[in-house]
Amino acid sequence: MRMVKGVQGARCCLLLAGLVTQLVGVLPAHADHAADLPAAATAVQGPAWSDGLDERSARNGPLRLRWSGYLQAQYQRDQQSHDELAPGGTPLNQDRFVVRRARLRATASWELASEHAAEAVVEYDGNTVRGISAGVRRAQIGWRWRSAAEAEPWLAVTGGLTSIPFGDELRVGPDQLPFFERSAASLAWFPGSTDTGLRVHGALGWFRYDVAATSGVPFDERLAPTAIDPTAAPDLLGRLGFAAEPARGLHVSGGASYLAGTGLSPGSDASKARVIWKDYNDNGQLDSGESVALPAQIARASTTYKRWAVGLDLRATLQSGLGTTQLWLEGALANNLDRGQFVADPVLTGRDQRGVGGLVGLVHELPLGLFVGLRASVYRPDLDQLDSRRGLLQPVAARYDAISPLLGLRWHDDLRLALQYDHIADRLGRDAAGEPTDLRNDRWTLRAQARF
Amino acid sequence: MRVLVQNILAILVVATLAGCDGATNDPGRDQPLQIAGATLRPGQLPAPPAEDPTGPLQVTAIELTSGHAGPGEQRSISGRTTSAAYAVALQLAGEGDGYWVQPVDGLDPQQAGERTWAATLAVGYGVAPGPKKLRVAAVGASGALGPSREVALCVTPNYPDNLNSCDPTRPPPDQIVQLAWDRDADLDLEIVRPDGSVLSAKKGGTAATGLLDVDAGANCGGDALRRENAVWSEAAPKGHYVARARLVNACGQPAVRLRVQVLRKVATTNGFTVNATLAWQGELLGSQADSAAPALAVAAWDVK
Repeated sequence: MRMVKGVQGARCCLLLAGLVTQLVGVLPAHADHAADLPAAATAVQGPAWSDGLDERSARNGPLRLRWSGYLQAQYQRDQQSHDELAPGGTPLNQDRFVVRRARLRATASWELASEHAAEAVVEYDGNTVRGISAGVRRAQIGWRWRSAAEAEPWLAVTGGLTSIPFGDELRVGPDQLPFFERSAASLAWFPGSTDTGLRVHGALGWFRYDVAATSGVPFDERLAPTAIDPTAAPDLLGRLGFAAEPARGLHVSGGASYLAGTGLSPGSDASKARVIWKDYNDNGQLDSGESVALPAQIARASTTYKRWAVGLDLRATLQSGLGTTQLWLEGALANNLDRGQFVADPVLTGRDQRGVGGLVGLVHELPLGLFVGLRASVYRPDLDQLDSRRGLLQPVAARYDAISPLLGLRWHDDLRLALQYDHIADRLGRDAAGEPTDLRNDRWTLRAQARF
Repeated sequence: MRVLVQNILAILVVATLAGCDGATNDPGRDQPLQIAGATLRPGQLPAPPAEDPTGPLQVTAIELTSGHAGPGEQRSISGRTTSAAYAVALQLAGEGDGYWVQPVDGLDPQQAGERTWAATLAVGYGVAPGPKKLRVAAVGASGALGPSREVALCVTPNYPDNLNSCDPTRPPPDQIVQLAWDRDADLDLEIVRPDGSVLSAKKGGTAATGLLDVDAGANCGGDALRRENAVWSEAAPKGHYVARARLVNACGQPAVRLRVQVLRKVATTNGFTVNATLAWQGELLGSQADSAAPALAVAAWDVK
């Protein structure tokens, strides 16, 4: 905690640069032999009915009960970690071991008739992100109409705590994302990847559709379940897209997403009359003129506001003798949608909060299971933000961008060990002149994942 | 393939090195001076120049609402700089290993060509009592520091000493008995006087028979004071004294460590000082909290 940040910074540079140097010394040897290796065995799948977890239990009888799950355990180091408590008592230490997700899912399905089935899914999670937390993460019941020959249903209707159909990254299960967490914009707009509501989705040839009416309160998996829909109006959202295989080994999918919803700017409770003391002269004594009577106030009404978002996404997967390569492209515009990071409240600010975000990601997996990746993501949470500079309000380029290199090993499809570094470029710090500058908040994470 | 891997690793190196730059968000709670909302930077502010400073970066005025502050107490400070300043840097001279940067405000409508600034400062809990200098410098656009100016700030102890720590000629109280503890809990100090009467939060006294300064932690109010003082501003009556402590409410704490000090006025060649003549330390368990139980006798001494 003492002012040894300069020394820590230098040590951080040396350690990480040394790590990278070692990797440079190791990886080209593998790369040289890559062409001699057999074709990649790992199939890259798009989001399907299972919404993340890959159920693999045997199907026996008309009622099938399947169990599946995964565990993500990690060690992380963060440049903004301090051995200190934030106001309220939350530890500021971020250099720690974390059980990020421990998921267990039970899936029951009934074959109602030929090509018709009903399915119920309950998924529980335990994690230690903000203390030990456990709770339901998915609870949905649905019906599907599907050809036996097709992986995707023609029509499926799902109700309950279910996936949010917006974009690509959000719909992919946390155990199937190549990068550890979703990008900053996605996490800000959708703090959780599930929400209560009714969802209709399916596939007709290359066409994909996925629409829903939800509560508009994404379920943040890092927190205890406290979110309750504060507005009667549902959020209407969906994605219309495609999935095709234009050439052998090349799979391309993409779509356009939209969201139209309603948010709530909370009012305030009624207050009692009270007296406050302001020690204007800092003498520690109650002097004349330093006490002010505050009369009781009635409750202030809450106000609703509109929010919307539109987005485009594209993913291409190429399987070749050199392995499997995935390219992710995604971008979206949003209005008053930030619910997780720079929380939007247009009633409070008197203006809409316009944001834009997106990502470009590239992941390549060699046949032996070694994979490397790089993701660049941008997030401009508020395009119209103003800040006081020397007494004048000026536009500021509020941003939260990240470059995330990834390196890891996969054993079959079950075990994965990976290291990800997140270099975050923002304007949350203050430089020597007190002007906004990048805050030292990079982090690296070593994560082990097992699926069963 | 090799090119791809090399490119990714090159980006990794660049990102790694880039990540080692940037500002920290160290809350600086271990610093002797703390300023809410300001940014802590490593380094020392230069001493003020011997002659009147010149140049575009200057602090032209400093106003401190009070010239003394006890540990943890907040004070308001404000002032003006020349118009070229982007921020002011503040530091307790010779204390700590960093200084705080606070952005300046707009141009002062009453002082042409000058900017205003304001901050709320507090003295850290670990700072030794005594006269200090608060150093302030203007900061330019590149972070360059202008010449410093200093203003006196006396750090007082956490007991009422009549500002003796700031001016030794001011006589401190004749006797001070302090009960201090380490957690936010509700403890009460009681003193059994030589005549057998009890000084407590419910039974007060006078400057000659002793006064309690505050009922700290009352009703688990979270005042963070964690100490109570019994003060004899005039000569304490001679005889045998007993200090007692009661854990009224542990406020959820499993245990509370406490310390009792008896401090006496001592004459020196240039005035007065305060010496600790007795100190006792102990611990009370949360399960021992009882507002109705007799207080625990923790120290005894004689005033001759």
